Amino acid sequence: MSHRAPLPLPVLNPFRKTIVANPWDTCPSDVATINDQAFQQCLRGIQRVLETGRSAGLVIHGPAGAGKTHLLARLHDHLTPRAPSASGRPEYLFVWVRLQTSPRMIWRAVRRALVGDWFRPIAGQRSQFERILFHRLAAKRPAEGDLERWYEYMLDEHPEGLRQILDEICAELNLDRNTSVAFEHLAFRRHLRDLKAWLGGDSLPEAALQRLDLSGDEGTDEEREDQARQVVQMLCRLAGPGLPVVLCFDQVEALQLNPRETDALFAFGQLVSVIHDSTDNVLVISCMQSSFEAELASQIRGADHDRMTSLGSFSLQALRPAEARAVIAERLRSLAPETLPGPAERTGEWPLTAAEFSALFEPTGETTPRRLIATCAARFDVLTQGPSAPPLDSFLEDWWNRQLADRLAANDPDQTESILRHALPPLFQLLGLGAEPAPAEELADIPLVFQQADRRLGLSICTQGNMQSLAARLRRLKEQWSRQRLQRLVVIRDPRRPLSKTAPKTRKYLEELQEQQASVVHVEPGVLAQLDTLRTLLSDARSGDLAWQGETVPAETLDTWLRRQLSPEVRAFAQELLSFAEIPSTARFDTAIIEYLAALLSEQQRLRLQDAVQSLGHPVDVVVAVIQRHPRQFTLEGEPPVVLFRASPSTPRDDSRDTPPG
Amino acid sequence: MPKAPPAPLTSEQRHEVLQALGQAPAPETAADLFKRVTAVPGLKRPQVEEVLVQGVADGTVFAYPGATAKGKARFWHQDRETWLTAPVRDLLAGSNEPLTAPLVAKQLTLGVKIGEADLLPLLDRLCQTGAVHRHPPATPKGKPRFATRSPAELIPPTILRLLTTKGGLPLAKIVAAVKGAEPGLVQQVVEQLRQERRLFLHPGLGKSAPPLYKTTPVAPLEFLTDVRAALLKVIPTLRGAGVSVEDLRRAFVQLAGEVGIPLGGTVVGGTPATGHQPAGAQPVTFPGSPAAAGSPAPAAPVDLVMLMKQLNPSAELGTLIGVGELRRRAGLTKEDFDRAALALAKAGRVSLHEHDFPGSLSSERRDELITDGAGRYYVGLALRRGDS
Repeated sequence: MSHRAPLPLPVLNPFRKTIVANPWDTCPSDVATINDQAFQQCLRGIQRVLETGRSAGLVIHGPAGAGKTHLLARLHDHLTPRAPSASGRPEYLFVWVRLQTSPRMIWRAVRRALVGDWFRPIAGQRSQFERILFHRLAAKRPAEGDLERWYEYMLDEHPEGLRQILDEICAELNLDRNTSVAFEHLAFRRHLRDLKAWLGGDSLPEAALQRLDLSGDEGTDEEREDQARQVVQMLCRLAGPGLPVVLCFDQVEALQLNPRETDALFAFGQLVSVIHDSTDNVLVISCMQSSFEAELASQIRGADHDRMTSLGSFSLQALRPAEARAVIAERLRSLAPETLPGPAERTGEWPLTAAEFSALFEPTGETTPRRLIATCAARFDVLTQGPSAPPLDSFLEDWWNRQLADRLAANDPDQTESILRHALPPLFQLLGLGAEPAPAEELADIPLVFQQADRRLGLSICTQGNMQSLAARLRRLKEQWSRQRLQRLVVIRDPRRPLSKTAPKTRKYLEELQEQQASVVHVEPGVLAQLDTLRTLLSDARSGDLAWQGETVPAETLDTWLRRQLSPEVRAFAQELLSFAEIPSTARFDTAIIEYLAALLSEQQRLRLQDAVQSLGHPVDVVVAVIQRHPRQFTLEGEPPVVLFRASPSTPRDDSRDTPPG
Repeated sequence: MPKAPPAPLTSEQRHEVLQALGQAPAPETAADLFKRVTAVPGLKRPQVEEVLVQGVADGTVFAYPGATAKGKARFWHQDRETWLTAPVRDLLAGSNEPLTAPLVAKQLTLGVKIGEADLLPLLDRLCQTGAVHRHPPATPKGKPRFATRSPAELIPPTILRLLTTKGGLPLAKIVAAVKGAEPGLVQQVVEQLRQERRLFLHPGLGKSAPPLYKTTPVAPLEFLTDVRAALLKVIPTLRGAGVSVEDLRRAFVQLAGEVGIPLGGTVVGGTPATGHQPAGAQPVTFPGSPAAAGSPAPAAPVDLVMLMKQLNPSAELGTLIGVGELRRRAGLTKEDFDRAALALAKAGRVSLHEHDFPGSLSSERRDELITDGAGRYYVGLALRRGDS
């Protein structure tokens, strides 16, 4: 039998997708018998939580490409409700947290993921938050059958009665005021966009908070982390014992982008313990690579590990030949029969030859699904005369460009702090800038401290949208900076969150900090998008989810490629943050102008220079000089009238890039 | 003028009321049931009460006391015993240890409060049928306990769990820790587990320390620390005095022979005799191993699968066993151990878990992992389960 003849019709390669990136996506080509025991264990875990009324934990681990996220996708698919909420119909809440975050923001990451997932419409129907509402209402006021119709009736005909029931629920659950108000907004479908942002931990302007009748998150870094913890616990309590929450942690390895960051694993252990002990309806499923599981067990407290594995630690199995044939058959099922060779020509291993198939199982007798599918994909391309697999550089470049485009589109100032805190330590290491993360004791508002030779510098990310919160942060920063524990302090600002014209105190505190020789650096959205892409790439690589031709891309290869890939803007930003050079005398003036222009540009995308100058009240040449000193922020274009707009984000790499140092 | 009592319900209307009661997830009061019955227009609460009282009289409805001391009587379509049997049995089956009736009542999650008095008649009946076993109280003043397993069945897992948690205990402490069981029976079970090589008796370290039972085999190195320290001190001195390695080797062979360990000449140029072989362990051959294919036979008289289970009882469930500890316990040479592990994987008995970035490890750590000689390294083994 020849496998060299092309297939009769051009067809899409059914083996092309080798990684399940997100369990919320449709579960692709699932062979239910593979890893069924681990799957059943998850279901038993949920049942156990329901029956005992106590939270529990289990760990799922396996080699890279064994199908951890695939298993979560199967679990999610299984738990997805297929019908409207009704009394007596079991339902579950699902949360997927990819731990691409700084360890000291771990609760905030969980909070954001939980709220995001619970606001998602499930199977095109009601969101998980709405389902919680229906179940809570049904428990309070017995209703038969379709809860949704009953709710719509109450909403339209008896809003007062509904409000009264909500009050009773909140009192019974002992919900704090903020959660009670949020629950009521949800029930009456008010301000849903702002409500989602508030529940997710975004910094909302004062006007939005007043509309919601809620208070904003205030306080130091630790206090905000504590607030996030309280919100997560409160929301789990809101779900109640009848609605178990399946809380899946994926890519736990990403917490530790820097292997020396041992507190990352400690923080994760603590998080799982707190959820385990302070809730009664959560099944925590932690997914990680086998090699990392051993490391985790040795670095976290024994008591935390016990809770994380209170229902056990289960390994995913690589495929044996029979299972591999089932995977191949399932993938081929998506193709029309006429596009494939006839049954007489097609063996169970097709598109692989018997020799290619056997080679996959040497020398251990098993292979990972990812390795199998990637080998099939390459072979299928040969047979269909499709495009051959790209070389590693092209693969990485394509990955980078696609992710960067997504990050640019989704970039949101509420993510700025999370991105910078997770991405800056590995960025400095990658660029060989000699800045080592250092402890930030007693510097509650300076979460990133680095040691460079014998000097210490601190970075504080001040991007709050709420000017009162920002003013409070800057005031505390002044005090912490004056303790002289650092040789340099950088306040990082996001120009999309400029100082409001009606925030004199905030402006004053920022100026005072600059008078005391603190630096202010603005980070533009294009740089942020690249840093977001960088941390995703490193997290995927660290978690074994970055695979080329079925094999994990080695860390050294990736580092070398990244050093070439990072744009001059990102390098300049990193160097500006770490520079101990003397602060120019124009810095304060420049910051004031940048903030002012950014505020103008937040109202309109393009602005006539003439108008900006008039509004500022400074001579045109002075303003133009500031703009030219900050080309990463603003661009001037055209003949008079000259138009001012925000500098456009960096495009993918071109050949004119700077060469990397060293 | 007093109000006339409501007219009796028709049989269809009674059926509607009873059907609604049948859909209730738990016993409920007449008032709650009345609120839920919407299919009978103009229904009055006394009419519902009348249907329920009649149902109790003819045995189709069962009365329950109120949820609280002052609560109203409740009704349901199932009698208490039918309702509670399955949840109680499941709860006891899922529990690692026997439970008292109050604990069973507390852990049942049925949405209504169940008291000890509700449960005792049911537990007695289940004991009579053999579905549940009565266990003696855990303390002299304690209450009887119940489990789906008999006292004799529960003792082995209790002991194994105890020793896995505590690390090692003398016999007296094991007997004291297994509450409510006959001491003689516990001693018998300990001996039985020792014979099955699920427990190991470790000699006491020091003059007065008692021997300890552990779930792991005796590791000789723990008992040779003094010898090791002495050797570490004297060998450099001897080497410094010009004693050759070959002479030292001869001395070791002689010493080993004097204490009953014939090393013979296997050290030179070949595979050294492997470490300890637990007494009673049967040599295991590995189907499909390189030995079978004609390559040099591995000296592997250690059952790695059994050793995995001994190291961690949950290995049976597929828990990964790290290669470091297993390698140390097996006492094989690196090559033999790796060959044995690869053979077990090839035979489908274990799954090897690959490290995706072995290049990031120190050479010391990498040497500890299993390697297939083709650049792949494995961090641990998990017993394969029959998923498909």
